[in-house]
Order: sequence, then structure tokens, then C-alpha cells
Amino acid sequence: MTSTADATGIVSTPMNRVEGIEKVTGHATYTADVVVPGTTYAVLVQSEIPHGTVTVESLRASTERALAAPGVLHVLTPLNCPALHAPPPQMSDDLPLERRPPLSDLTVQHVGQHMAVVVADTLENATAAAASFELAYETASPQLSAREVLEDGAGAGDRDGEGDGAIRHGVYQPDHFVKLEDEKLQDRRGDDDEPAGAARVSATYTTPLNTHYPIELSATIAQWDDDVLTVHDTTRWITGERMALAAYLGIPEAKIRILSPLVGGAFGSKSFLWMHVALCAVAAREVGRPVKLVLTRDQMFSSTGHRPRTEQHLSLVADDAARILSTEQHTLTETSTVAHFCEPVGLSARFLYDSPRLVVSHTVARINYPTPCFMRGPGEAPGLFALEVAMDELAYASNVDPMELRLRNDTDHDQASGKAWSGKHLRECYLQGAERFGWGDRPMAPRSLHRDGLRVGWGMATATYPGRRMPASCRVTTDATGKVRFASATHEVGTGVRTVMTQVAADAAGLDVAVVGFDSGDSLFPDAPYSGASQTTATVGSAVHQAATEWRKRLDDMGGHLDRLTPGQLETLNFTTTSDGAADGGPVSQSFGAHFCEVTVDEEIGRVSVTRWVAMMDCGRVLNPKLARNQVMGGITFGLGMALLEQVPYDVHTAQLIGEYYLPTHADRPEFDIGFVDVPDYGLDPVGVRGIGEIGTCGVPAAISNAIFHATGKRLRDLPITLENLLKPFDDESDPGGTP
Amino acid sequence: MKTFEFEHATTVDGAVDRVVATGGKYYAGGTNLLDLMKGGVEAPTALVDVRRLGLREVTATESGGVLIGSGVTNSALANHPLIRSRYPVLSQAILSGATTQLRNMATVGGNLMQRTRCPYFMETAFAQCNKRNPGSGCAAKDGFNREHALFGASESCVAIHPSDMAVALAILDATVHVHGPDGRRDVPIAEFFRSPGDEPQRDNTLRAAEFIVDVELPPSPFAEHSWYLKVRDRHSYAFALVSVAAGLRVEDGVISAAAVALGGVAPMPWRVAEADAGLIGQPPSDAVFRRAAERIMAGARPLGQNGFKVDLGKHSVVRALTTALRVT
Amino acid sequence: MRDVTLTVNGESRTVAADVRSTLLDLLRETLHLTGTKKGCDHGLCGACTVSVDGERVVSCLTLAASVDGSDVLTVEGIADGDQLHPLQQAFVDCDGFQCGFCTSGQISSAHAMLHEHARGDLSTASFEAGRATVCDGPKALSDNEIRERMAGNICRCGAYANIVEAIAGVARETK
Repeated sequence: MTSTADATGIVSTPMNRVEGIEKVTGHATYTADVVVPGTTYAVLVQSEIPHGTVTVESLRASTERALAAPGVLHVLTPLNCPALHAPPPQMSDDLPLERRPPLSDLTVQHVGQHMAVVVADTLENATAAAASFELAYETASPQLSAREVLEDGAGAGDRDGEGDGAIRHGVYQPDHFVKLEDEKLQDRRGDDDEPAGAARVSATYTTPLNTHYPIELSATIAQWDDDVLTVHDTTRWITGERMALAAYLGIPEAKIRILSPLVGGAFGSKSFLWMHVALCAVAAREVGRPVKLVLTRDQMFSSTGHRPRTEQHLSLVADDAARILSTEQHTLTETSTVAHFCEPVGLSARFLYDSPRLVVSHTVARINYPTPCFMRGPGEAPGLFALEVAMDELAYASNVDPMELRLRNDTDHDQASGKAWSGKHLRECYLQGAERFGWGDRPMAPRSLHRDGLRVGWGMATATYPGRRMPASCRVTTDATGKVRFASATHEVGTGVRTVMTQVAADAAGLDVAVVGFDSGDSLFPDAPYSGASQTTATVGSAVHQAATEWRKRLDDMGGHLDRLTPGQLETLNFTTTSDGAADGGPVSQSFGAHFCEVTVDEEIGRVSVTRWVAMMDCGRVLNPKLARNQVMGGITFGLGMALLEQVPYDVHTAQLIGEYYLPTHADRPEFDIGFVDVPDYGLDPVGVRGIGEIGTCGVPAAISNAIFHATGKRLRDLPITLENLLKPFDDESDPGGTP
Repeated sequence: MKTFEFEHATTVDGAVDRVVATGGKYYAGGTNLLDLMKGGVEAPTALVDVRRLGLREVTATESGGVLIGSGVTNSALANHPLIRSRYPVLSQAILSGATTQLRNMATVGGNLMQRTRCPYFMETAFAQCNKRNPGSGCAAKDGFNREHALFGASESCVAIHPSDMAVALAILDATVHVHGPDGRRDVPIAEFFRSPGDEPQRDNTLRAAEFIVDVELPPSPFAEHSWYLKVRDRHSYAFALVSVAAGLRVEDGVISAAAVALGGVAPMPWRVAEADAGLIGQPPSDAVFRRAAERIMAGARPLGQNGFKVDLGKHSVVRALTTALRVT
Repeated sequence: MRDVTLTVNGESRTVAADVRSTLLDLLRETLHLTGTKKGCDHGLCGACTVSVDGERVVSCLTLAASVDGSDVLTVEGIADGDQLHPLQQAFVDCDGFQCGFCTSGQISSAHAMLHEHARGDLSTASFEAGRATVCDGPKALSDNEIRERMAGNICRCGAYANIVEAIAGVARETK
């Protein structure tokens, strides 16, 4: 593939974000900021039990009471909600789109399930009326964990005659991850039996429920003009949401317009179609006025996906030169009773280290808990936690430096497919990262380092994340003044896509950035896939690059001077192109990186501080170093939360949300030193990029756990690592600052 | 939330009269009360706003102490020159709590009156909470109780009081001046909070419609050596798992005054007379501090998930005393 | 409903407000000043930070009726017409945001914080430096001081390092 000649010096420059001034002056418009005249307000009523049936009497009584409350315009419940259609199997089989439309029956499948929507003239009136709901239930015994499902005698299929196949129980083992047939969730290679080897590590690792917690609450504004529906929504899947919404509502896609100009963070949420969006559209149709629905923060835990729990059993066997002979990673995870999702934990183990024998399995249990979905680094984040801690354990079992162990087991091709990598510079990441960190001075033994009465530890981990690319389209419009705008139905969620696409377009079209613009966030723009899977730069970048290259070619074919064109000629500079996804049979694209971190541990009060962090990333070409650095620092901070702070707290008896979900604050993050290998990889796309949005998080929890081991000698395999794990007994008076 | 009457009071007597007449509540910063109203935990029929009563002064008293109006914001108190120089532990304790935004809104009176953050209390979806709904039971005893009490609890309730400021006031021997329908009362801080006993719905010993007018501090021996240590799950902006307010005066190499109080472990700041007394007359040393730590944690009654607070509390007491000693 | 009068960004506004309305919802839904954001509605995230009578507060826990008659400064009032405040320019240049949703709150908070420091206000970080600093206030705004003083503004995108860099740069310039 051809490369983009960096003739104009636009790519690889730290250009400021194009929407920066709007964001710092409060003039940036997010979904909930859109003012639609005549807007009414919708508030959800959600179930408070995990499993059972709501009584008709209580629905009727609550509805009556709410309708009589001040300002209430309408109440939707399972008793009166117009029937919605189930999505077709090709949508719900692989993706966490709920098979059972909302408000379609009286059963309750999880705490937080939508039971009613109250619409009123003001937010205060809608909130008060919704709070007046008192629902009664016939409770049924819930299954609240995968272990419980297995103990109950796991079997696929329905139970209690519930549902029609939309509601399912038991366990299953999916073949591959979403629609990616090569990303096998049940995989093996090599001998049947695990070899003896010289060193063996075998342990269980667990990760808890995590939630995305974008600061922006999910919001939807739906309005109908006759039979045309306009939806402002905090979505990163405009194209797919239009398709899914059309399916649930039973109307043509052409009758739906979706707008999402800026998204206030997603991290995996705000994709797919979440049920409250469909309900908002229905409510708007019933009320005959625009309806605005903003989820509360508590509702964000149950209504827009989350990362499910994982329990991973991982075994590594190595020979006496610390070369891996066998890797086994078996994952037990969870989804809801009404949608499919499998956290693809074991995918990295298939290829990350040279391992002749491999067994990977995933078992998913359907429990009475809300539907999970992708969360930053789906699979990689929890899977690399276990794999990279296990590698650290193997390093100690083999008496080999942890980074040396990685180098010895580095691969030069993708073992899962047998193909070459489109580009791989992981060795440079290890070596340059280690150099910058000072890893060479690391004493192997735990509890060797201390400073100011605190234990000090250094840990490292490998990071990896796929480079993906899907088809996308891009439109170009040129005006008579010479301004050229590119547009695609992608989404600015904070990744800087609008800025980077401006750079790519200007560079490929040979234009000054000042005359180039990039628009996103409208389904009227040409299609783009969901903004996730770190694929946007490669995907939309390919479309933009293709459009800009074509634009330059057309202009050059007409003499190369915009100001000398006839109107007819100018019109030929308005067009739409479509670029392909990754080539079938092409090389495998993967980004790689290495994390090195220092922690201090105060064992008397159980406090861990992550003090400094070095990350070297191989993500292909870096289009904007300022944005890329910010993205990686953000990813590391996200991983720090996963390691030390985050678990969705819920009461084991009632499955209710309980207490606060802690995120890292300003005071929690380390000092950062971020570097990029910055070698373009044209194997995936003509721009030379692979994704960057998620790799920063991958491997972070393991690096922290490994550093804590180095500091304290405590091997911690369950996240989050908390104070109780680190506190030393009061009667243990060994000097924290001296010899162990 | 349900609607309510709202008015600004202009005098203390007027405020008391309105609360008596309406059965409503006093409203100052609202950082806790408004939050509870949003959650349906509190549903007062009337709010009597007390922010226009003045009560915003911090003044030196003739006896060398200080008088703090109940309307002084947490931030204003923590930053006041008299407090910073003479009662630094109070400043430090306040600044450890919440965030600047919340401290700018919250008042001294409101800080004392804030309710527990026990999640079963805060969330009405949990039916069993004797504090919110007397007689309904206590879900925390056998449920999530990692952040709950080691001391001072009862069969009916194991929640803690979350105030950092109160822990410092406890070692400073504060007195709370209240005004109510029966006139004025002085309530020593050690008598302000109460154990739940059989009436967990009452957090403190205030009588109906009593209003906190100001808080008085006597002169303190701890201006030079004091420390507030707060141990929590992240580096800032979280409630205490355990906190310690420690004050020492050392003369001629011997401790001549001492006070230690724990936060995060009881429905009130936890002081133990034997622990304080045991420090007096001793040269400050790790052994002496460890003995005080053992004494203050004596009689701890852990629940299913908070046993770690016993060792954490002991370590924290030693750490706070050690750090207090080293302040320059 | 009751009339609430506020001077918002220098302009007097009187609106009929529901007594239950928070200052946040009044600003956003009635006055359509949507720069201030709702992130949690419970005082946990800081995205709704504005200044009331010169002090930064979380507007989601501020009852509008309670602050009747007050001065309110929102992010829309921080720039001087088209001229960005140095903090705003610094955020753009240092890339102190990603999705931008917490940014209004970060800037409103930082703007107030610089005034707080200038008048000698403390944070818990100040106590590490000894009694003289506690009495007089820290002269310089160290990174640690900034981080502690900004801890009430959560950024899920994790742009923390650049936010501190932006604020520290402005703090140095304004000395």
C-alpha cells in the first residue's frame, strides 16, 4: 500500500483539538444540551428485585397515582406500552442487544430493569411522579453469580417455562467474539496433555464488576415529525443505532435520523442500542411532543452495560530455559438472561507469547443481572491482568527477570493464524521502556527496595490490543471560497477523531488545515461503524485518506487551481467514497506496548501509591503526539482504577447497588513518561496507524500487582487490590524501612 | 422529590418558631440534606433556611479560646487565622473531608448534623434500616459492613458518624451552644452524639427543634503538636475507614497533655480516657504510643467485614501521634 | 413556583422556579446555560461546579431558592468576550481534556482555586510543609497542592496530568 507523504508537515504534529475552544468556554454542545422547543421530561422507574413478576394491581395503582401528580403527561408500563419488535437474530446473537424488548412482559430479569417511564412537563415533576411508584412483586429465586448457576446444575435452555427463547438460563460456550470468526473463544493447539516442564504456575485470578462511568450521563431526546423520528442520543454507534432502533420500532431506517455531535466519554458504553432509547422514542410518539430522558448516575450502572466479572484459571509451563511450553487459560464469566455477551478474556493468550501448546476456553453463565457489554479493552483488560501476573509468577519460579522472560518468549508471527504481523516492535518497547524507567537497577528479590519508611516495588507488564479496520464512507464538499469539509457518521468521544481526521485530510489533499474541516455525529453523513475497538483512526482514517487523495487527484486533473474552476468542475469536488475493511487474507494487525511502574506501599496503613509510570507503545504511526500521549495517560489511569479502586458494590442478598464506585481522582495518578515507537504500519491501512484508545489500559492492573509483589512479597490475584490486602498486623513489628 | 415550603429565617428565634410550627427542618448548605431529599430518605414538609442569620463569625473569647458561629462554612473555618494558628488539627481535619466545593457550602452546624452514609440508610430500596425506618431491622449487621462501627453500636444499628470536623472538636473539648423552644443549652461535644441504643433514628441528643447557634473551644495545649490522619480507599475525596485526631504537649521531654480520638469507627468520635491518661507523664516513644493505641482500641467489636479496622486503627493512632510529635 | 433572582455572569435574571429546583437544573433547563454539566447530581464528580458569591460550589446540591439574590459565575462567564481567560487557553494548549465533559467544571474549579490560593487558603497538602506554611499559606502552588485542591473534579478520560500542567503554568504566570 502507498504511504502518505508527510509533505505538508501536518500529520505527526501536536495540533490542538479543533473543538477545543468550544470545550473550554462551555459552548460545546452535548446531547443533553440540545434545546428543542416544547421538550418534556421522561424519568424511568426501575425494578428493585432481581427476579420475579410485577403485579398488575401495583402497576395500575402506581400509574393512576402518577397520572394524578402535577404536570404528568403520560405513563408507559408493560400494561400499555405499544409492542416493540425483537431484534433479528443476526443482531442479537453476537451483540448485547436485548432479545426481549423493554416493557414487553411482566417478568423481572434483574435489578434496574425498566418497569415504567413517566413523562411530565418539568424534570422535577417527572422525578417526583416516578418516585411515587410503589411496585409489588411475586419474587422468584434469582441466580446472581456464575458459580450459583453451575451449582444449580448448568444446562442451556429455558427454565420454569419462562419466555420464548428471549429469556435464557444456564451456561454456554460461544465459538468466537462478536462477529469476528477468527477470534476464537474456544481454542487449542499442540499436544493434548500439559507437559511436565521445569517450572509451572497455576492459579486463579478474578476481576470484579466494573462500570464505564463516563462523566456524561446517557441522554436521549426523541421527537417525531409525522412518521419521521429524530433522535439526539449519546451514542457512538450512529449507524448501528439507527438500524437497531428501526428494528425495535418496526419502521424503515430511512425514517430515522440520529445525531450525536459530541459524546462525553464512553469507554465502551453508549454503543449498541440500550433499551431506554427505544422507550424514549415510544414515549415521544405517545405524548406527541419531544421527550428528553437523561439516565441518573445510579441508572448508568444497570442500563448501559458494564464489564462482567471474570474468574480465570491460568496455567503456564516452561522449560529450564524459561521458554513457555504450554499456556492454558479458562474463563468463567457472566451475562444477563436477555442478551449475549462474552468478555473475551483469553484472546491475548492465543498469540502473545511463543507457546506450542495452548488451551483457551470461555464459559458464560446467564444470571439475573443487567446486560454487560464492551468496556475499554474488553477481554484484554481482565485477561492480561491474569496472564501478565502469571508471567511474573513464572519469572520468579524460573528465577529470570520478568522482562527477560518476555524477551525470551517474544514471537515473530501470530501463532493463532500462522500469519505474519503487519508490524511488531514490541522488543523496542521493552528495551526503550526499561531504559527510561531504570529497570536495569531492579533487584529481583521482593522487599528489597524502600524509601522514607515505605516499601517500594517495580513491576512491568506487556500491553497488546488488536488493530482493526472496518468499512467506512466519507463525503467531501468543497465550497467556492476553497473550504473543504469531510464528513462521516463517526463520533467524537474524546479520542480526537475530528482533529486527527482534519490532519489526515489536509495532508492527503495537500491543503492547509485552516481550510479543512471534519464533521461527525449525524446519520445523514455517510456510514461509519461504531467508535470502539480502537478502530476509528484506521477505519475512518482510511475513508478520509481515500476521499482526500481522490479530491487532490480530481483537482490536479482539472489543472490544480481551485479558484480557476467552473461551477460544474467545482461540483465534481463534492462526492462520497467508501473504503474497505481490513483485507481478507492480509497480515494480522496488533498493537503492542510495555508498561513499567513504581509503587510505594505503606504497610502500616495499607496505602499504596503509584508514583511513576513509563509506557512505550507500538501503535503504528502517531498522527498527533499531543493527543496520543493524553490518550495513553488516560488509559493508564483507567487501569489504575481497575487495579486499586473499582468494583461495582452490590448487596449480595438483594442484588441492589450499594455504596459508592470509586474512580481515580487528581490525587491518585502517577507521574508519566510516555513514549511511542512511531513506526508507521501500512499493513492495516494507508495512513499507517493502528488503534490507541484502549492499549493504554491493557496490562496496567498486572503491572501494579507485580509492583506490589516486588514491594511487599504479597502476590495479589484478585481485583481490586485494597487496603485489607496490604495492611500488616499491628503485632508484626518488623521494621518497614529496613531489612525484611 | 416531594415539594415543600421554603423560607429564609431572619432571626434565630424566628427560625425556631417556624420549625416548631411546620415540623420542618433547618437548611444551611444542604450538601447532605438535599442529597437525602433527592434520594427520598428525608422528605421534610418545610425547609427553614438559616443562611441569612449571620452566625458567620469566628471570634476570640476572653478566656483565650474561640467562638465559632454555626453558619461559618467549613472552608472559612479551616482557613481562619485563629484556627490555623491555635487549633491546626481542626483546620486539617476539615480540609481532609469532602472537596473544596462541598466545604464552601457546608456549615459548622450542618457538619455536626450530617447523617450517616451507611448505604442501607441512604438507599430506600433497602427496606431494613432502623435509623431511617424504626423497627424495620438492620441490614448492615449481616451485610455490607466494611465501613461500619467497631464501638458504640447496638443491636439496632451499626452505622458510624462520618464527620472529620467532629473528631478534631472531640480532642479540643468543644462545647456546642444550642437554642430551642425551651431556651439555650450548652452541650459538651462528648455528649452531643449518641449511641443508637433502641432509638437509632436519633443521631444526637438535640431535642425537637433545637438549633445550633455556635461552638466554643477553650484554649488548646495542642497548637504545636497535633495531627489529623485520615485513612481511606483513595488519596482524596472519600470517607474515612479510620481517622485519628491526635494532640500532644511535651514539656521537658515528658507528655503533659494528650488527647486522641478516632473517627470512622463509631456513631461519635471515639475517645478513651485511659488511653489519654496513659500518655500523660510519659516520655513520648513508640512503646508509649503503641500502648495508647491498644487502649483506645480495647473493646472493639468487629463485624463481618470491618475487622481490619482494629489493626488499622492501632497503626493509625501510633502514626498520628508520631507525626504530631514531629511537626515543626 | 417562586421567583428566584440571580446575577448570572454579570446579568440579572429573574425566573419562576420550582422550589425543588437545583441551581444546576435552573441554569441548564430554564436559562439554557448548558456549559455547566450534570455528571452525577449528587456532588460526587464536580462537573457542575460554578461560583456562587465568589466561592466554588457544586450546583447540583445547591437549592436555587436558597441562593436567591446571589452572584453566579458559570464557565460561560469566564472568558472576556472573545478573549479566552489564560486558564482556558492553557487547557487548549496543554490538551487538558479529551471528551471535554468535565472541562467546564475543571475550569470553573481551577479559576476559583487560583483565587483561593492567592488569598492564602490551605489544603491538606499544606500540612506536610510545617506550621509556618499552615499559618501563612503555601507561597507556591506545587503540583501536589493543585492535585489535592482539584480532587473534587473527576476526569474519567484521565487528562489529569495535562490539567495540572495547564493550571500550574497559569499559576506561575500570574505570580
